[in-house]
Amino acid sequence: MILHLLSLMRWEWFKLRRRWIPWVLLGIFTVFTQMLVWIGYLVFRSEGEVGAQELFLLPGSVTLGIGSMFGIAIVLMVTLSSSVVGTEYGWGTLRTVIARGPGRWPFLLAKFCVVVLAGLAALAVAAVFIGIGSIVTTGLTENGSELTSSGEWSEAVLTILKAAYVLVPYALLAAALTVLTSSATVGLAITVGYHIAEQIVVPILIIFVDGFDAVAGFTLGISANTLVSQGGAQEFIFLVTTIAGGELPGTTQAFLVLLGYSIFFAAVALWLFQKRDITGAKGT
Amino acid sequence: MNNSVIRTQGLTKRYGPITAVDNLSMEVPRGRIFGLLGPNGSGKTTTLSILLGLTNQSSGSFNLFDDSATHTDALHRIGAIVETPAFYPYLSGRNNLAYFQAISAKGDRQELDRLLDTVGLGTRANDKFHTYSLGMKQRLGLAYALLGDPEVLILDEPTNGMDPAGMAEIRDLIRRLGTGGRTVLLSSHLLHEVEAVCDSVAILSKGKLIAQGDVSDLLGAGAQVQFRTTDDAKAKEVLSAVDWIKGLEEEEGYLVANAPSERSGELTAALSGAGVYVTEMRPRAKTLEQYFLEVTGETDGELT
Repeated sequence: MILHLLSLMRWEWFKLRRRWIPWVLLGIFTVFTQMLVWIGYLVFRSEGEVGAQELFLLPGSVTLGIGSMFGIAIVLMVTLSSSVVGTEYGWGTLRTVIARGPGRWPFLLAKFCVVVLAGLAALAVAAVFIGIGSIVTTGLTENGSELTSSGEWSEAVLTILKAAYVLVPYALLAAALTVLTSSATVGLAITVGYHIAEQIVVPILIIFVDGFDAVAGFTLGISANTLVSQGGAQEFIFLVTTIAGGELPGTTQAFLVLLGYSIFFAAVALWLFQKRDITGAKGT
Repeated sequence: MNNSVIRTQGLTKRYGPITAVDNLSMEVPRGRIFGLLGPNGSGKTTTLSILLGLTNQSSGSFNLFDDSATHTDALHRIGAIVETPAFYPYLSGRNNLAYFQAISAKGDRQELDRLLDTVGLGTRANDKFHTYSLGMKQRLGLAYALLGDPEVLILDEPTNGMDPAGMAEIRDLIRRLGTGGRTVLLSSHLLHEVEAVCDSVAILSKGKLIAQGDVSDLLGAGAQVQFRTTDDAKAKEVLSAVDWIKGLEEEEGYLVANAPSERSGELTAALSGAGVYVTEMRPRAKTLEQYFLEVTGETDGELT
């Protein structure tokens, strides 16, 4: 079973790296993270603001780059996940695949694993490019070698791993909705819509509904922010929870809540995938 | 060894108020080319989809090979194309085949080259699938179905979209594939295609099984003999008294008797005994099209 799953994962990877969409998404994420590095460099050069140097000095630049951009990473990951699952319906290849007998569960599970690995790989690649950008900008800065970041390498690595972990439930939610609707576009739209709505609605409810901050700690967005977010997003949520007199959930709770969501979404996706009839090509 | 590789018992599939497959019980004999014949919407593709695990039946059951084989194991012994074959548009024909070969864990790289040559795609093997014509997609579908040298081939409208030369070529290939113990289940709405290729046939109409059996038996059961005589009026009078002649009509200057050609000697003897002599006689074989129209009441030879 494990060998079969590994073989399916290998061939899912084979298909994935021949598509244009993962490369485009990786390019977008890399550009966004690079922007932070270069904005930090330009602000520091023009205004000499000490806080800005954290954005381009290693290893703090990696922590800030990945942590600040993980909201964008979620949208890109959802796009990848719904595309990887949904195009099989759209092209009608799901019938061709399942008729060869790989098993429905192993096939979908292999897709989940490959999407998660791709997310982790994308974060790692973006981190490498942040590193390259940091080296270049540090080299361009007068006395750059004498500047030091307050960040730690261990913190940078941990941020990458935590960001990858946070992406999992979002990827699985997109996959489940794509299986439910048999459409990449609809799966993507609903998941991104939910993600955006949650970011808007939850803070409002925390402020205006008594006791909602206790419930908010179990939402996907707050848990994800608690675990990873750097800069604006976490400060905003901290602000609204403080105004409402509540507290952010601890990282252990956030970790467990995200794990629960991941298991639930994966189970729903696998159950739906197993139960439903597979029809022919229906467009994406 | 069981003589059937596929057996369905009361197989039924409903989509809301529509019954696509209605209490279908049929057997596909081992080592034969078996035709599943019926107009579009008769339940052929739904039946094949159920057998391949793509669609869940509403009721009834089916067996592939024998009772001990799990469905996944059975699928590894089956090659199939259902409807227009769908492949990854951004992969080449060869890479598509390599992928499907890998996920079923059978065959080697040499097999890919051999199959691509067999279906006439050797020179276009490295082109992306989205550049293929419909006929080329069908050919790649056939190569896909043949991956791993399967014991059973399930082909749903395999000549769909092909030009006449390509259709003849594929029919010839299917006949060759049906030798050597391999079972072929060919679904088609083209009556002449099924008649030209298949040994046995099941006829579906509105999801129901109308008839099943060897093509020769089904057509032979309604065989006719046409003849001219020295006195047709007297011949009709004489033959109307013969109990094994089920009907006698005049058509285009001939008398046509519903009687098997094997009994034409008895027929001429009966006539000559009454002083009527046969001047010309030949068997009139029923085509599958005629048989189909009889049993289903359909009106078109290409069933759309």
